[in-house]
Order: sequence, then C-alpha cells, then structure tokens
Amino acid sequence: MNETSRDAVCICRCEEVSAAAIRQAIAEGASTLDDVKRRTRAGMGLCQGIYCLSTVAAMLQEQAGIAPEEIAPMTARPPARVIPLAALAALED
Amino acid sequence: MSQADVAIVGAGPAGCAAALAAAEAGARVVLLDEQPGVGGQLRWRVAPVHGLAPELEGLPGVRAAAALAERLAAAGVEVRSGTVAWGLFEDNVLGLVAGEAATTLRAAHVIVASGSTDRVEPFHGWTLPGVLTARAAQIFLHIHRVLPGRQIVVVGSGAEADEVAHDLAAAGAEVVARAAGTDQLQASGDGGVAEVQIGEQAYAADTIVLALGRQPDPALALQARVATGYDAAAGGQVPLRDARLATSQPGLSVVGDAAGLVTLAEGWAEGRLAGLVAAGADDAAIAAAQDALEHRRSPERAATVARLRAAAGA
Repeated sequence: MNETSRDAVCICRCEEVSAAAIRQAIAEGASTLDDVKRRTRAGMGLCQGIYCLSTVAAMLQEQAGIAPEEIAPMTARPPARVIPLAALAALED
Repeated sequence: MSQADVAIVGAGPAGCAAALAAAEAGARVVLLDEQPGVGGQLRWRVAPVHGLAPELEGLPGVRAAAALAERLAAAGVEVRSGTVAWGLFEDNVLGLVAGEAATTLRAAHVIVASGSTDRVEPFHGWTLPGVLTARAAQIFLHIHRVLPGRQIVVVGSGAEADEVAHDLAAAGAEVVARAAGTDQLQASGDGGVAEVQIGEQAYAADTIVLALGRQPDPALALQARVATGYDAAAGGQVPLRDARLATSQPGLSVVGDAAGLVTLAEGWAEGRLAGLVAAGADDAAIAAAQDALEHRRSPERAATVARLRAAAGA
C-alpha cells in the first residue's frame, strides 16, 4: 500500500475516522487513547472502541514511540452496550 | 432493585463455573448474559471441549452448553439470559436491560466474566459487507445454521483460524485461500466483497473471515476503575488480581478471558475459584480450587499471571 492509500483506510468505522485523521491527531500531540478519542471521535461510536482501539494503540506506538504498557485503556463509562433510552427513562431510582 | 449474594456477568465457561461453585457454597446467585442462552463461546463451537467438569468432557461445545443449562437449573442459579449488564456503579449496583425493561441489581459480590471480543485489523476494503470475524462466522454456522458466504478467504494463523476454516469447509463453503495476516490483504467489490488480493495473487471470493485472535473485554470492571496492567501475552491491558482473583475494588472479581486470555479449562478453574471466594466458602475448598487452577496453567501462562500479580502488589 502506498502512503495515500494507507491514509484513506478507515480505522474507526462507527465514527468513520480515517487513518490520516488519527495520524494528524498524533502528530498534533495526542499521546493517549483518550486524547485521540477527544480529537477524532475514534472509539466513541456504537462499538465503543472494540474494533479500533487496538489499531489506535498500535499507531500511537509506531508514530509517537509510546510503549504499549504506557497506553492506558480508554476511560470506560456506562453504557457498555447499546441500550434503548426509553428503558433508561423508565428506570426506578 | 433486586438483590443477590453473588451476581455474575457473562455465562460463558468461566461465568457458569463461578455460578455453580457459588451456589454449591450456599449463595443466592444471579447469572446474567446478553445472549439468549448460557454457554458463551460453547454455544457456537462444535469442537470437543476439554478440562471443564468431568461430565462435559469431550462433548461438542453446543452440547456442553445445553448440559450446563441443566446443571445451573438444578443448582438453583437464577439465570437471566437476554439481559445486558451495561453499567457497574457504586456499592456493586449493576444496571441491566432486558428488551425494553431496565432494572438494577445489587450484589455483595460481582464477578465479571464478560469474555473477549475478536481482534480486527483494518485493511483496504475491510468495511465492505462480507468481511466478518471468526466468531461471527461460527455464529452464522452453528446458531443460525446458514453459510456466511460461498467462497471464503480465512485470515489468521492460529488454532482459531484452523477451527473456523474447518467448520466452513465442513458446512459446504469453499475456503479459496488462507492468509497469515492483513499486511498484504485487499478486498474490493461493488456493494460487497467480490475480489480478494493477497500480495500479487487475486482470488474471487465473497467473504473474508478474520481469525486474528481474541482481546479481553473487561468493560464493566474498567467502569469500576479497577487497577489494570499491560501484558502482551494476556491480550493487552487487563484488570490486576490477587491470588483469589479479586481486583483492587472491594467485592469485585474478574475471571476468564476478560482478565487475560485463557484456555477453556483455565477459565473454568478461575470461575470456580472466584465463585467459592464470593460465596464465602471455607479455606480448604478455596485452597483446593487454587490448586486446581495452578494445575491448568501452562508454565508460560503461570509466568504471565505472576508478572501481573506482582504488578497488583506494587
């Protein structure tokens, strides 16, 4: 794959974030999964990062030289799965 | 809000073992799973299972899952299938949704046994319809009983790749090529996979099955802010645990793949230990379960566990 076609590959399919957008975020100083998420929305979609975060972590390692053990998990917040808002609204206290 | 002594999230091998052990030790146990039945990965695997309970030895996964459902019922475990545990809050309160109905459950002890997800790597064309993971392909085959495609490229080189390639061929699909990884892989087609390139070689194929291994899915434990550590052999960042599989948060354990990738037999043994601990079983029973777990660990896996445990103590 040449540089241009590498850049076009979709990394986060839920939020349609390309490799180029993630590389740019890292070039601008993003150094954690949360940084990349806040700048690009990668990991914020339907699957909550299940598909893309290992790739984003590999890109942080390759591009910014951050060791895998230094890359903390993305901050986990409820809901862990897609749930209907109507169900939440009906929740007892 | 309902109450339980022990609530277990995930009814795979580790979660089922935890539920059976906790019920045996006298606890009121609720076992939750988002899928419509118990067994986790056993539900969509037909390969024989080894190292679980003696009466399950050698059964195809799907049969072992059915046998587990009977054992859980006989043991008095409250099984809630089709129930999504989406949040873990203060005081071990779980947020649950079943269909449109939301409820909460508080448990003295929560055991997260939420398993793993299949790893995915992006490549050119990976978002086309027709690209799926190994477990998705097995769910097509063994639960829905349909072929995910006719001409299939299987990507990956581990035992899981061999298993899914075997299952696909046995079900009547044609495995047109195997690729070791995604480096040289490209897919193209109009509205779906039609051609797959591996390096210079092109194949007519309608489906790509990615068997690139698993990654732990401990999302609920991470919500509770448990301490984590990185270990490549465990599959990445995983919750740190002590010798009784307890995390840094009181009343919260993690077992099975969610705490680092394990074999079926090791996951089962972890579940049993955590279930006994959560139910307050006596020290002799817990020591025996710890012994059984040690025996099911390979030397490499024992070294991984030792590294992670040292990190938990630091």
